[in-house]
Order: sequence, then structure tokens, then C-alpha cells
Amino acid sequence: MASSETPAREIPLRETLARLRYRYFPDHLVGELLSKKWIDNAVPFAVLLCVIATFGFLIPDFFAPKLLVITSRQLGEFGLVCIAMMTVIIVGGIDLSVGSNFALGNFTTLALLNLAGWPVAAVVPVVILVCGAVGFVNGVLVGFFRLRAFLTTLVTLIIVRAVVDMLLLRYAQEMSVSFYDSDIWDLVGMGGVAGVPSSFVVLIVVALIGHVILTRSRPGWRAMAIGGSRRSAHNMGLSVRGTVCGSYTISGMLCGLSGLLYAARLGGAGTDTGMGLEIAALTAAVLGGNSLGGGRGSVVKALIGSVIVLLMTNGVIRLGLNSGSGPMVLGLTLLFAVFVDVRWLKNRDKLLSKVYVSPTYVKLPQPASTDPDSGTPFALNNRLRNVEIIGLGEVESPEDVILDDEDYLFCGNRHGDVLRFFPPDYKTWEVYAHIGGSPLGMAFDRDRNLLVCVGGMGLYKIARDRTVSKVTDETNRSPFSVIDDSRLRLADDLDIAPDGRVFFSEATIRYEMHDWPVDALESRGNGRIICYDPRTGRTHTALRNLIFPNGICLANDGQSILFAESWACRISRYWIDGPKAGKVERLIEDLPGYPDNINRASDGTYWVALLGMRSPALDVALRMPGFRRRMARRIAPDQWLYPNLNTGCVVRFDDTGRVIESLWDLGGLNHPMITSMREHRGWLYLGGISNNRIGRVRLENADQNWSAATAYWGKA
Amino acid sequence: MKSALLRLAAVAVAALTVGSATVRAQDNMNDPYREPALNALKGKSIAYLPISIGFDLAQAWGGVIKTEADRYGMTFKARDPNWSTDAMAQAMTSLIAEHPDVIVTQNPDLQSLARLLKQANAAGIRVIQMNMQGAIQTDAFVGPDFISMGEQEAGMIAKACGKDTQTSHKIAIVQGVLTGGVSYYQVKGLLEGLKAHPEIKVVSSQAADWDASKSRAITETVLQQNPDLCGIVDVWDGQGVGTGAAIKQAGKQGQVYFLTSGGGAQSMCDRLADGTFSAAINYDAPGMGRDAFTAISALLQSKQPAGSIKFQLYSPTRVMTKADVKAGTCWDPQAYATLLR
Amino acid sequence: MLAALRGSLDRLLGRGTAAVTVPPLDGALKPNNLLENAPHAVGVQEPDNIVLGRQGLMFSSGERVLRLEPAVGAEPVTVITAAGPITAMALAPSGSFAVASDAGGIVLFDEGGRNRTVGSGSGKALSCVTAMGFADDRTLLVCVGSTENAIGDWQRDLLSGGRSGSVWRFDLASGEATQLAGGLGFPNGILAEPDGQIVICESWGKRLVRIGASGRANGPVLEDLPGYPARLSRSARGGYWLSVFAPRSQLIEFIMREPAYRNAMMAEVDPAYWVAPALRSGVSFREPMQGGALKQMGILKPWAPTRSYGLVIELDGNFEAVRSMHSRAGGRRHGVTSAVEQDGVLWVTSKGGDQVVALDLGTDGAK
Repeated sequence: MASSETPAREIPLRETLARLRYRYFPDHLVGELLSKKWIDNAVPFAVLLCVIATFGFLIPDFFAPKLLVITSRQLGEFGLVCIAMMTVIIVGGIDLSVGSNFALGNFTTLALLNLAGWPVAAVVPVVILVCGAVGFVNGVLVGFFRLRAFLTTLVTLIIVRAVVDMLLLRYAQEMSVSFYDSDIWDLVGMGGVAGVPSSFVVLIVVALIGHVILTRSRPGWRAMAIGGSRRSAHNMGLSVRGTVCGSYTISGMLCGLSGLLYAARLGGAGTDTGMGLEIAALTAAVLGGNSLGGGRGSVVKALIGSVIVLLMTNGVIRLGLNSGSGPMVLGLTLLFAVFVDVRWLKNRDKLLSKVYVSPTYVKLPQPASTDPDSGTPFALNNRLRNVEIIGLGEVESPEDVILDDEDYLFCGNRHGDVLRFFPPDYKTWEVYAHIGGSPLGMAFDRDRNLLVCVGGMGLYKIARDRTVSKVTDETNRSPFSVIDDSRLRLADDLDIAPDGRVFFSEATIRYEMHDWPVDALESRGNGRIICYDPRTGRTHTALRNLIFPNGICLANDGQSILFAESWACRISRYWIDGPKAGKVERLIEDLPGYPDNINRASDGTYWVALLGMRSPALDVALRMPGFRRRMARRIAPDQWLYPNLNTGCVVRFDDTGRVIESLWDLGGLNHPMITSMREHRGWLYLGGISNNRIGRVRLENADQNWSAATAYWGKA
Repeated sequence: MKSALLRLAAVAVAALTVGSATVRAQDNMNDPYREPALNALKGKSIAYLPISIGFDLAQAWGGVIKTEADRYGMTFKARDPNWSTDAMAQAMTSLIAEHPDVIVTQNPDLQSLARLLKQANAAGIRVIQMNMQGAIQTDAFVGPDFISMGEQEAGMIAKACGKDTQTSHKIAIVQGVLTGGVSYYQVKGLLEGLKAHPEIKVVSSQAADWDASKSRAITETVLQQNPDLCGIVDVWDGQGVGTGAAIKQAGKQGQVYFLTSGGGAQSMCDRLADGTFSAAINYDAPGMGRDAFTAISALLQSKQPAGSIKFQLYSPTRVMTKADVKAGTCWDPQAYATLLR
Repeated sequence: MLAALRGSLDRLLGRGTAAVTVPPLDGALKPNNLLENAPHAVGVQEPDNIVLGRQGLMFSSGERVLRLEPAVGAEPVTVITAAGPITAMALAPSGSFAVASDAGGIVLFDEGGRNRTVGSGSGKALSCVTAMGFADDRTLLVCVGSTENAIGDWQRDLLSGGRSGSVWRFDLASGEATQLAGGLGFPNGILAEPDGQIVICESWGKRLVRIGASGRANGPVLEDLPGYPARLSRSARGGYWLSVFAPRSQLIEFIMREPAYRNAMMAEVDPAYWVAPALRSGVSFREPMQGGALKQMGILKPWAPTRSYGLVIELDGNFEAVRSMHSRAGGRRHGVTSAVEQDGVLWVTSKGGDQVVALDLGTDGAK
């Protein structure tokens, strides 16, 4: 029976609209975007857009290319100071001396160039070192002597400013008369690279290096960890003092570099150089979203903040407002941004957990009847009453079972082991190999290596000498998927084509393994079938957008695979070879339960396990995504309507989709739930992921010598 | 009757002829140089960038220039960097990009704007520097010759504290921004002039950065250290207010000879009247404004490219004491400030 | 208007007044297995209403009234067979008792075995009688659960927010019936106080209310119960025994706020498989299952969400809960509809578990 009759009940218009709306409107994107790490920058970025829009509107030529060049030149210097401030803020400190350090850098550059007459190439490293030394002093005091950052850098601010004032008093007039003229210096101060001002180029280079270090290198991670929780970082063994000292030193060096660029641009050293720069840099850092408490920040945030502050100060001057308005406007914006940011921080995870679940419209066909007197092959019976129990209480969560040619029984358990039971009575067992994760579906390849789909890890292989190796744990990333779907989260079942290609299912890309009920609630096509080709070693996604694809079985003709989609309650055929390669056909669509693993039977038919049964109340809810979404948000997950996985059965069907028979355990006393069954030499072995036992039942009419491995690959 | 008509016609013709002749003569009496001059000015734009719009000198200069600019149909815009060198540099760069015809500016110190002014001239903008000279010469500089003013001040202070007096011969100098033109050159001239009076000792030469509270603090300290101080020279009367207040507070008014210089705003007359200033050199800021506009007018009419003619317009100064203060001697900065707003 | 705005905002966001909350089982209501594990029980099909009178303990089951024999192991004896399934029973102080059934109305049986039908006065026979109680020998108080749904359709009445229940007083001498209260949400238990006031268990309101002898409402006495209350009887210590026939659950409270789903479910799904409280559960896999009821390693957690539950609560004279006996998720003795105390033994009818359970109060430390 290929498909069922459509129900006679007519579909109201509301449901048709709902179906179309849920098919075409991608509301799962909202949750996926919110789960990205870079979404934190959304708020400051929005503020930046607001500022650009406001000032672009008020000042017509604010963004004329010439002015942009000027603004970017200033941004180069200011951005470096903001990055310096961010570096210190990330480790949980604060550096109020950036302004004075900047002034020191400016003065030192001019003194060395104009008075001492050194060449530019010598001046640059010396200036950076001098200001880095100031930062180092800060770092030693704050990092090693554990003084309070605020007070210490305030003192440094005063002392360095005083030093600069004294030096200016002595040398300023001498410096002012001469003019350092050199092409390189002019290039740094006035010129640029291909029209982009040189200070901006320096900023971009520093920003890129800083971003890579902060997000992708150990020192960066350690700095973030220390800022996040100093005590825990210390307990973990991170060198807190050294890192803090280092960050202050880097801050000093960046200030020195910035002072150098400022000297190149203006060439003058006054007593008001860098005055108030620390406030502006602090404002920029906080506006950009760097948390003052530490542990949360990035170069991008510092840059966004510095652009906002710069545009606002420039814009206010351009508007010709009164002298006090600049800081006033800046202060109000800061207040607003901090308010929004705090609320965002507090509520983002809550919002994400509420918004991520995006149920969709699913209309299942009427299920085949399971009434005992209905006469259908699904009619309830008690054929599993006499199941023999193997490993009662000793094995936990044997999702799949498989036997090799010598009748050894293999299964996985929830501790990440693959166990092996010894024939003929299976009363003794041993740990065959330890993989980790949750071993799920298994299959033997031609050389009798055991390939295992491990939930949470990927596809693994246990060779005959019991060594474990990884076959693949990633596939090609879909270009338009917001979620990084190159990683495998829930590899479920597999089978191997005659040419060695391994086809395995990944049940869902949006959820981890333990969140399968939420995927059931969504019933969205979040899963896929992936193909690994051992001849090329490449993995690619063969089929996408499947609703929790679960069992995979190579059809008897070797040209197609049968796969089960659990929440869609159907089994389909995917052609992998031959004229129809790549096409998908529906085989059985009206299953009364959720299909799990599919394996071959000895007579050319197939076994499928139904891991749970459909309930009519849930079927109605599947047509109402809004109801399920509200249910997910308003009541605890313990209370949601779940697919009923407390009861299962085993079903046999053939290549035309005709269901032949079913085996149940009424009352679920012996073998309550079934996720997999394997026929082997006249016995049917049963596994269930929530069980603490394996069962086997005698099949009198089956081939007593049939073994799957031999059927697939011939004699070993 | 016929003859009366004929006579009338003759008179009419004669009158007409005379009238037309008069008209032609009026044409000949018209000023042929006026049109081109007015056209040279009309529609041009002036940008005004002082160190701050908030003090008397800048208000006077700006007010005068704006009045004249309005008179000749020129556009005038002002920018207020509020004493920040960096903001001034930013404003200057954006002004250069906006490309007005003339920029009237002040140099906060010798170096900061120098390269930018060079750029402005290169871009074809005429630059008038007011009062504070930079390291670069542009089309015009309008301001007193501070070096000779300094020498004049040296003479005056020598008279008050020199070797013919029964004083300690100690003086203090209160500078502005160390590298600001007004302070730098004035002090240079002062020190040059004092070379001829070796008995005078300069006990302190600190920078008050144009800030009256700073100058007050400096002066208090100096007076405490040198209770027998004879004279103080402050380079600008705007900060001299603080110096004078410190002297008054120390009770040394009349004992310390306080000499300063400024633009002649009403505050200068008031201070001279109440004895805070002993003497002041007035370089008449509105007059400087007039000089600046004269320079602008001359430059625009000359049709020479920017930066091709450069000249220094040194402003005349006069020494004022209490006796010179009469109603109307000084000017009210508020009037100019309202003009600029 | 502000309140209306706030109300609609609350409904939209599912918080505040529209929040789905269920009182926890705590304090005197802390779950135990006393009801489930009680050793003595009598197996009867769907025992409903147990009453204590001069003849002893009598209870209804289906169409019959049965009397419990004191001998251990003895089968209950059929006393009366009514015209249809009995929905409520009450015993008068004089020894006569009233039996209500949809088919036969309210029939009064006196000591001698004679019976007469008690009229409604207005000519219409009362149906859906859920509980009865004698105020004195000549006054019978009757609870009518709903006029819109039959008594077997009580789930539909709950889900559609039925409030059509009423309380009547029958004067047995004159045969007059007066309605004392109306618009109640399925009154399911009634007890006359010595001072003339009447305590009513309003099931869908999850509370006990008190009305005066003339019908004047005197306010609720016990509110926000963790389940739907059934019948009320006196305890030996001046308090009461309250039976709770089904538990409240967040999911059911949630779908009470989802009219579209509720209507679709009631239209398309068999009532046995509704998301609604029930007297027994776990019979068919087509019943709705909630997340916490998923078995792990073959074990159903006792605190799993469940559609049925067994709970009987002892209240003191001020209607404060003193102790309780439970049959938890996965248990058999659910759907407790009535309970009476006799000589230190509490007899409980578990309609969903098909048993009359005897709970020994002596060993439980009766106060």
C-alpha cells in the first residue's frame, strides 16, 4: 500500500493558510540568528546605524568621500586608543591613564624627531616601548601587587600628565620652532595607501591581529576567561597576574602608537593633548558593548563604539552646537545604549530559549488501525510475550543490536561503550570498545569492520582488532544555513552500499541528542542523509530537510536505500544508483507509530521498529504550530505533549510497501520500547534506547542460517 | 503766439540736450572700479575658526568681519572648537574639504595647524591668521608685533622695578600656552628687552594656558615664595584677571606692578579703573577685525592665487593706564557675541 | 480599562493572570503511597458513592447498591438494583436512603424497603445528579453537575468551561424543590453543616464553597485545590474527608486557554483519548502522554505528569488539610470519588481502580 486515502473531512481555509504560511515563512531563522555568537553586536550596531542616519540627515554632506577620508584618519588614532581600553576592560580592569600615555607618546615622538633628530624608523619602536613601559608599570601594580585598577591608573594618569607638563615646560618652545620634514613622516601623517589614510590602515591591521588573537588563540581565550571570573581562572591554573600585566602593557603600547600617529598628523605638543581621551575611550568601549565587569568584549565592539563616538563628536561640532552639547549628547547616548545593552544581556538567553523552538504545520494521514479486531497487519497482539531477556540490568540504552558471522551480539550503551555478548546463551559480556558519546546504529562493512553512528560525535569504525577510528564527523556546510551544519550532532543509523559508500542519517541539525523531544515538537524537516565515500574520503549531504530521519537500510536490489522519518511516520525510498538515482519515493505513509531502525529480514522483506505510537491528541496539535509554540513557552518541558514512546512494536513490510505483520508486547512488561531489531539465524533480536535489556524472540518460519553480514557481503 | 511756441520748443530741446548731457556726464562721473570690486567680494564665503567663540577677542574679530561680510553679500560661517587643539585640527581639515574662499583662524600653538594651513593655501583657500602666528606664513597675519611689544613691556617693567627703584627688582612672568604665538613671542621680546636690565630677576615663568584660575594659582604661589615681588607681566588680560585677583587677595595691590596686554574689551577698562591692572597694552580687537577684513577684501580683489601674496599686518597698540579710562574707551564684547550667534 | 489592557497583554504573553500555574503537592499534601499500598481492598467494578448508615457501609456500583460485609473476605451483598447506573447516594439519619440515577430520577428507599420517587416539583426529572446529602430527615440536598452535558460527558463539561451546575433542596414531605444555587462549575459533593450552612465541592472551580440554608453564598472555604474535588464526608475528629477524583495539570490548564485546539480535539478525537483528566489512565497507548511520563530503563517516575491520580485528604474543622493518602502516577487506585470513616478505618471508593480500599487510620496515627 503506497499511500492512504485522504480523510473525508474537508480542510478548512484556516488550515490551508496555516500550511502555506508555515511552509514559506522561515520563522526558524529568528531563533538561529539569535543563537549566533556575533548577535551580541546587534545592539551597538543598531545604535551606530541610528547615529549614521541621524547625522546623515541633519548634515547633508556628512558622508562625502573627502570627509570620510578625514574621519577615517582620526578614527585610526582614536580606534587604537579604544582597542587599548578594550584590552584592559576585557581582563576586568580599567585604564584611566590612556590619555596621559597618549600625550607622552606624542611628546616623545616630537622630541625624538625634532630635538634629537632621530630617523623615523628608530623613533617608532622607541615610542611604543616608552609608552609600553608606562603600561607595564600599570600592569605590575595592578596585576602583581593587586592594587585597584581604577585608583592605580588614576594615579598614573596624574603622574604621567605631570611628567609631560614638566617636559613641555622645558622643551616645548625648542620643539616648536623646528619642523620635521620627511616624506615618510608626511605619508604617515597626511598620506595613505591607495586613498585610505595610513592611520586607518594601521588601525585595520592592529584590529585584525587583535581579533585573531582574542578569538582564536590561547592568550586571548585566557584573557577572556580571566575577565569572566578571576577566581575560577586562578583556580584553573591560568596565570592571572601575568596576563593582566600583559594587557596593561599592550594597552600602553597601543596608546604610544596612537600618540605617534597624532604627532605625525598635527606635529604639535600642547598641554591639552589627550585631555579627556580616557573618558571618550571609555564611552566608546561601553557603547560598543564591552562589559565593564570583564570577560565580554571584542575588537569589533571597540571599533563600533569608537565609530559612534567619533561620528557624534564630529557631528556635533559640524552642527555648530554650543560648546557643552557634544558631551551632553554623548552622555545621553551612552545612557541609552547601556540601558538597552543591560536588558539585552539579561534577557537574551531567555529570549533565545523562547524563540528558538519553531514548530511547523504537519498534517499526518490517518493512521492504520491498531485495534485488535481490525484485521489490519497492525492489529495488537502479544507475540512478544515470550521474549527472552539478555543482559537485564547490565546494559543501559542498547539502541541498536547487531550480530556477526560468529554469532557475537554487539550493542551500544549510554556510557559510550560497544558491548559484546558471547554466544550461545549471551549470559556473559565484555566491553568490546569504548568510543564515547552515544553509540546508535551499527553495520558491518565488507571487511567485517563495525561501523557505528555515535550520537554527539559522528561516524566511527571499530576494526577487527578493536581499534577505534573516526570515519567522519563533518560534512559540507550548506551555503544558506545560518546554523553551522557542517558538524554532525546526531548521527543515527547507517547502511553501506555495495560499492562501499556509507549512507547515514543525521536526525536533526537544530538540536542536540538529548533535545530530541523539542525536535519532535517542531516536526520540522531538520534532518538529512549524508553519504561518506571511502574511495575519495569525502563526505557530502545527500538529502536535506527530512523530518527526523532515523533508520537506514539498503534495499535488496542494492540500488536504493529505505529510510524512516520518525515524526512524519513514514518510510521512503531514496535511489542511489540506476536510472532513478537521486529521486525519493514514498513507500509507507500511514504508519500508526514512529519508525526507527530498518533492517533486512531473511526472506527479502524488511523489519522496522516503531519506537512509539501516535496519539490522536498529538496529531491534532501537529496541525496547530501556534499552539505548540505557546505550549513550549508557557509550560515546563516535563508537561508538554510528547510522542508516546512508552510502547513500541516491530513491523515487517516488503518492497512494495505492503505491511505483512507486526509483533507487540502488550502491557510492555517484557520489552517495553523497541528502537531496533535484527534478524539473525532464526531469531529476532530487539534493542530499545530507554531499556536496560536486550530481547530476542524465536522466528519459526525464518531461514535458520541467515546472517545479515553474509547476505550483504558474502562469506567473510 | 507762434514765437512763444517756438521759444518753448527751443527751451525744451535745450533742456533735453542739457538733460542728456547731464546724464552722460553722470555716467562719466560713475565709479568704474566699484563694480569689479564688489563683484570680487560678492558671493564669496568666509569661514571663521578661532580657538573658541567664547572669549572677547574672538567675538570682536568675528563680529566685525561678519558685519562687513554681510554688507558685501558674502557668506560667513563660524566653528567653535571650544579650546581643544584636536577639535580645531578636525574642524580645520573639514573646512579645507568644504573649501570656502577664505579661512580666518588662530593658531593654538606654533605647530599644530601649520601643515594644515599649508594644505589650505595649496588647495586655493586664502588664510588669514589672527593674533597667534603659526610656523607658516599664509596670505595675511593680523596681530600686534608681539616681540616689540615684549620689548616695550621690558622697558615699562624696568621703569617700575629697575635699578633706580627701591624694590627687590624681582619680577614674575605668567605665560599663556607655552608655544602659543601671543605668549611665545611676547616672552621672547620681554626676555630680549630685559637683557639690558640685568638687575631685574625673573623669579618665575610659568604657563597658565589662558586659564584665569591657573594664573591665579601660579601667582599665589609666586607671591608666597617671593613676598617682596616687584612686578608681574601677564601675556594676556583674559588670564590676567586671575593674576590680578591673586595679587589683590595677597593684599599686594599697588605694591606689585602688574602689566598685561589685551584687545581692549570693557573688562580691561574696568580692571584699570579698579587698580587690578597697573598698566595694559591695548591692541584694539575690533580694529584687528577691520584690518582682517581689509586684508580679505584686498586679497579677493587682487585675483592672485592663494598664497602668492603674503604679508604681515601688525596692529597698532597703545598703552593705557587708569588715567586713560573714559566712557567709550573700551568696547562691549556682548554686542559682537550676539552678532555671531 | 487599564485592567482590561493588562489582561489582554497577559493573555498574549502568557503571564500574570493568564499564567499557567498549578499548586504543588506540599505540606500535608506531600505525596505518599498509602492509598496505593493499603493491603485490604474489595474488588468491585467502578464503585462510586460510599455512605455510612445504620445498616453499615453501602456503596453504589453500576446499577446496584451493595453493602459491605464486615467479615473478612466476604463479598459485598446487593441491596438494591436501580433502573439505570446510579450517579449518587445519600443516607438519612433515620435509616432511609436516596438513590439517584439518570434513568429513574431520585428514588427514596425507607427502612422497610418501600420506595417512592421524589418529584422535582416543576415536573422535570433531575438528571446528572452528582451528589446528595440529607440535612435532616425531611430535607434532601441535591447537586446537579451540569444541565448541558450528561454525567458521562463530564470531561466535555470541564473542557468547554461548563458552569451550569446547581444545588437543590427537596422537602420530602411536600415534594417541593427549591434551587439554592446555580451557575456552579460541576458541584460534585455536598454536606450539610449542623448550623444549617451547606458546603459544596465545586469541581471545575477546584474549591469548596459554603452557602447558607436559603442559598445565600457565604464564600469559598478552601480554594485552589491541586485536583478536582469529589464528595465530602465527616471525619471522626470534627473535620472532613475530601475525595479528589482527578489531578490538575499544567497541560490541561494550558489547553483551557487554547480554544482552537480544544475545539478541534473535542471534534476529532475520541473522548477516551482527550487531553483531559480521567479516572484511570495508561490503558491505551493512544492516550496523550506528557514528557515526564516517558519511561526510562522501564521505570515510570512516580512524580510523572498523569491524567489520573488517587487522592483523599483529611481536613480539619477549619477546612485546613491535615493529612492525605495518595496513589501516584502509574498506580492502580485512581479516581477516588468518595470516602467514609468508620471505627478507625477509612473506606475509599477508587472508581478508576475498580476497588473499595480500606485504609487503617489507627496505624496512621489518627489524632
